[in-house]
Amino acid sequence: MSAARAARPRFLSDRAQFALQAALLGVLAASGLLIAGQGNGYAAQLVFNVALSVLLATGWNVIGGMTGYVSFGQVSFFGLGAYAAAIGVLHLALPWPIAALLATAAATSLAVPLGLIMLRLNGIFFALGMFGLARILQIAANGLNITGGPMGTTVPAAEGPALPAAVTVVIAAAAAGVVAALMRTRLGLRLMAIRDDPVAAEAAGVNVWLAKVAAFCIGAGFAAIGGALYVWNIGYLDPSSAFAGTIELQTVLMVLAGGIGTVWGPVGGGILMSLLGTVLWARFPMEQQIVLGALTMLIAVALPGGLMSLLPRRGWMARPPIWGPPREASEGALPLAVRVAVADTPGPVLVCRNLGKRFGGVAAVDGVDLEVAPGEVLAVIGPNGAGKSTLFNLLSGFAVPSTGEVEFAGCKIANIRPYVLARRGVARTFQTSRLFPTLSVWENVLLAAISRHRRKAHAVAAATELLERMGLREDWARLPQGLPPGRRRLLEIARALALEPSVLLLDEAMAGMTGPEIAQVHQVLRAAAARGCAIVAIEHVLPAIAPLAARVQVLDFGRTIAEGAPAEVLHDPTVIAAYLGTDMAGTEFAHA
Amino acid sequence: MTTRRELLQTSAAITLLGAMAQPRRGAAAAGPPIRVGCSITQTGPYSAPAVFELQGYQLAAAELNKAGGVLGRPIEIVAYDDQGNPSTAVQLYQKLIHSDRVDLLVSPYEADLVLAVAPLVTRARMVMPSLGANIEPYQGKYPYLIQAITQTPRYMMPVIDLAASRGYKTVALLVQNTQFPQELAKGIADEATAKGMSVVFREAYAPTTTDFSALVLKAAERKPDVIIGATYLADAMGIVHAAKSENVQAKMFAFSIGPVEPEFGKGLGPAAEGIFGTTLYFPSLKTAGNEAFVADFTAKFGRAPDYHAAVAYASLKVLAGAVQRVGSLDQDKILRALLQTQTDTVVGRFALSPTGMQTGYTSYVLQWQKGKQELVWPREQATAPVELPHPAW
Amino acid sequence: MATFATLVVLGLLWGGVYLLMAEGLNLIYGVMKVVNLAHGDFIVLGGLLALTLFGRYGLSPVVAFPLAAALLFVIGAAVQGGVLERIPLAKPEGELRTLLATFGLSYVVANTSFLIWGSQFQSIPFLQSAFAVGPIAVPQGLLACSLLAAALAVAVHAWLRHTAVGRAVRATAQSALGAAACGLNVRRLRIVTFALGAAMAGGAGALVIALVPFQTSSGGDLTVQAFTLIALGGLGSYLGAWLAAELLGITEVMAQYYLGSDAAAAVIYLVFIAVLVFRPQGLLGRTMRI
Repeated sequence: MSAARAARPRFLSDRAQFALQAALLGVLAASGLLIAGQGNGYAAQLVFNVALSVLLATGWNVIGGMTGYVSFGQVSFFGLGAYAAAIGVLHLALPWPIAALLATAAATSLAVPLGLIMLRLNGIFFALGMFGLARILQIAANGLNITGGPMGTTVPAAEGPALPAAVTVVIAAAAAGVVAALMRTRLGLRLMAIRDDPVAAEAAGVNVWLAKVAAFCIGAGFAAIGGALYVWNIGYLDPSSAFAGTIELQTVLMVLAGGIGTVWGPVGGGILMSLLGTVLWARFPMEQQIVLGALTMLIAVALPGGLMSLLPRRGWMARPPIWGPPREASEGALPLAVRVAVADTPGPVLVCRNLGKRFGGVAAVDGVDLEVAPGEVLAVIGPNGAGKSTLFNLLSGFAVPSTGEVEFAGCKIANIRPYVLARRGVARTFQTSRLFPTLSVWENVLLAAISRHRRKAHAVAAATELLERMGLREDWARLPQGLPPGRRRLLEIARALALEPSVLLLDEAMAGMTGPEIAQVHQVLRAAAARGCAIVAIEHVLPAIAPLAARVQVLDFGRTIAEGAPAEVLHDPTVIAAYLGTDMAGTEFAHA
Repeated sequence: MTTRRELLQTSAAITLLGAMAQPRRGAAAAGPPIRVGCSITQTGPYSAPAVFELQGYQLAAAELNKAGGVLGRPIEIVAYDDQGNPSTAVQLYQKLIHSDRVDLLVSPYEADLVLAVAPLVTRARMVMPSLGANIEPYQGKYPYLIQAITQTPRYMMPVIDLAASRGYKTVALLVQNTQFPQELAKGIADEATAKGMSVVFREAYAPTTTDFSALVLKAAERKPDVIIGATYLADAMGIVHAAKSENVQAKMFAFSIGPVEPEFGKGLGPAAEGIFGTTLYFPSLKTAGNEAFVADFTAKFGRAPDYHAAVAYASLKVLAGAVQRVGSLDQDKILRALLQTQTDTVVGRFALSPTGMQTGYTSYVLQWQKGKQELVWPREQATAPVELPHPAW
Repeated sequence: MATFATLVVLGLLWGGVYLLMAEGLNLIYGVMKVVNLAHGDFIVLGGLLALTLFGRYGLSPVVAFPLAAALLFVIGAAVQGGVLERIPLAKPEGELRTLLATFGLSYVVANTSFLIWGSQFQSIPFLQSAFAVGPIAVPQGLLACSLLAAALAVAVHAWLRHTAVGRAVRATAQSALGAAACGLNVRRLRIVTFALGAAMAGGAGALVIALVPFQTSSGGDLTVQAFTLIALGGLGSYLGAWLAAELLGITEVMAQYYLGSDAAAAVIYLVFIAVLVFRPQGLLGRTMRI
């Protein structure tokens, strides 16, 4: 697998691939329309069912596959759309298209507050929470007398299945197209980053909440319009059909079987699983659920990536790099210096006073004062457990201080979310590198660049230049796991620099780097500092930072025990005692 | 009510679609058969009673064929599994009507399935003798539907009559919050008031309720003479269980659907003793052709028929009779013939109102005595005497 | 007043029943962070087994209880060993894949049960009467289940704390890697744990079917109920689960009495979501983990 990755995979140009995808969707849609137009009503009904399945699967994929929030309750919005449309037609005498549109709008708007509540959960909790939501909505629908309560009601429907089938085919194809387009946009990139690592995404300036809610609403919208179409087709609405658990099972199975998180997975999975479902139902109605259940188990165990994972992801099948590939640098066009946003206020750009953080009875950080001016390099050292990483979390907004305060560019940062700080110019790396495993090197850096630059051209140019500067341009298409550890660190630094920060917080960023790589980083950091960026670096390997750092601050047990120029601090007996223990303080190590 | 929904799907390949669009059965041997289509709940949570219906249809078809068929042609049943799901039922009836082009239609099992397919059947202008007990569809909205089962408000009238005849005055009504029990409860309340009894407690509960302790306690506070449940099986069992386990006494316990199922007695054991239920039919009924029906059914399917089998059997027989009288498969003529039909079936007297509501069929009271179901009311059809009041728990 | 006291007693006893049904899931989740979505179907399977033993051989649920537990133990071991062990839990999507696998398993179990037992609601007549304690009628069946639930909780707790195997299971729960590094056969421990959880579910079913009629499709709701309970109690915590069970039992009975049963039906799901959103660590959080 890594051998395949070493060779640069060929991508079709973005436009060519989009055209190809659109063409394929068009062919499928056309054949669907053809079948629907046939005189045989039953065939049209089957086409409707396939198209509806594809629509639901695609919607589920947006929140479940792209964003990584697997839901067992997407049917909530299906039912909401169905009910809203039915009420519109029955009680407000709206024509079906208007009712369907309004229902979709209503359900999508409801998705905002629901998303704000449910998206606080993740993993299993989110899945089951959504399941619970679907059951609550079903109970509520049972009590809704204007739609016949638990028995349901008939609703004026389309005359035959042909028209709904045609409409649904078109909408399903459009939905797949929307997802294909989404995977090429800012939002798509952000969603995939969130799926991989929400914390790192936040640190790269992504408004994680907004992105999640957006994805949730898109998925909800697709499901809702599916619900409206369903009622229009069948002409009957009742709570147990509208909120049926089997719709959920089938949707999940379709996406899983096809390939979760891909454009074609839901489409292919929808069509294939429908076929299988019909055959089973016709031949083995009693055993059908058993087979479907066993199939789910098999796929979960043996083929979690679905059928798409069986196909070689190369050439036209590969996911195209977002806004890439980066162009060759034209000679002399780019300045070699790294641009940096310089803070406007004079004086130190980052200040913390009496900063403290307690976890239960333990004070991880206990009254630390720290100050760094623009262009200054401060090294923070100390034995393990001294509180250095906690300090960084406090400085970057990932933790709330128990005491004291932090000021960035003259403003207190309490209650500012980390992504806002990142966009304002506080960039950081993590002690264990948090790169996005399913995004390429290029996309890892681009993600941060788009937080900094509103315009696509600027973001692309900035990201390209950074990769060039860090010597990563040749590897732009690789996944992070394909890089050696030192270069992974380089990538993380590049991603941080893409934010064009005024403050750069490096957490053991040079761990695992070779000598030449360290030298390269030094060059970049010097350039950044020269342009006014303040750098605070946690390091264990002192030679890595000593040449750069004007000052060193030593922490132990959450407190500053020494501060000053590197030479004097390193000979300070308190510092040596902290590292080596008091026995050693009087030995020859003290005079090293 | 949980239902399993299965979306019918097919691939884009037209040839595959063509192969699958073929109806499942081959043509019958002798002469073109008259095909009678329906969807039946063969799988899913509510399949047990529905299978009885299918067997009723099948027995009726077999007997008709043995007697020479209808219009000289054999009857063939085309049945699909709707899994208890209304949308699936709708799709299946679409298939039956437009794709399989069946000649006649008979009913699916449950009332909500009937309601779901009613518009479709009416649009197609095909007659369907329906086994939905609620009366709303038969008030003129769906003229092609005729009711082939006792109407809901009549279900528990004999129970109230029995209670009134014993001088009981107060009734507590526990109603499942779904369509059929709600309509039933209204009928019960009306009949009780007409007979001079008063409903001192009435409360509805969700169909998913499994624990009835609090509900039964509340009802008991009014000290009713009679506790009636407009229920299905699980809740009837739950209410009896709760009443016993909390020593809630009453002179009479009666339930709509529940005691009629054998699982009621098996599941409650001694607690079922003395509980009343309603049924639309009983194997011991002295109705036209019932003895032969019971014998043939038991011989063919290995168990005695229940009321679902009986009404289904009767409905197909009545339909066939109307077709035979009309002499053709013209649906409008068949409908007119049916509306004028007055005949005796295994279920009782079949007669329809001008809009197709069943006015002839009635219901009977059964009671669990010594682990067996006995028909106890009305007296003419009783197999055992009524045992009242209800023994202390 | 007697009514209120009765309601409280009933609520507490029903809480015991809920606890009994949830204990198996608690064990599995506590050790393996796996929500077995087929848990409710295991309960139903155990119950239907007891039904057959009662109907055909006249065996009371007391005898059926260990038999159902034993059968479900074997089934659970087969599921974990044969299927779930193949999913690496260490990777982030491992949890989700396991969830999906048990989702599929739930359908397999429910429909196999359907093929064997049919779809009707079925129950066993057993312990149906009540003790009279003053003006309050205490249902025997509920009392028996509650007592058993408590006994089982104590037994499992003791097993986990005081036996070698139990300690090994707890070690695996806290760190699979560390446990393996200490030479424990982590795979076998997981199989034992899952099998034990399944056995507890099956045993619970054998008794609860005498209280509540089961249908082969009842499993799903039972799983949600059990999961709500352990989420409310703090996943993996026994004391928490017990507290949550009692709270849930009392709330449901009170809601049914004072608010009507539609509200009561919604209560469990509302509590479920409220817990997940506002206090995902449950009532007792991580303080009293296994």
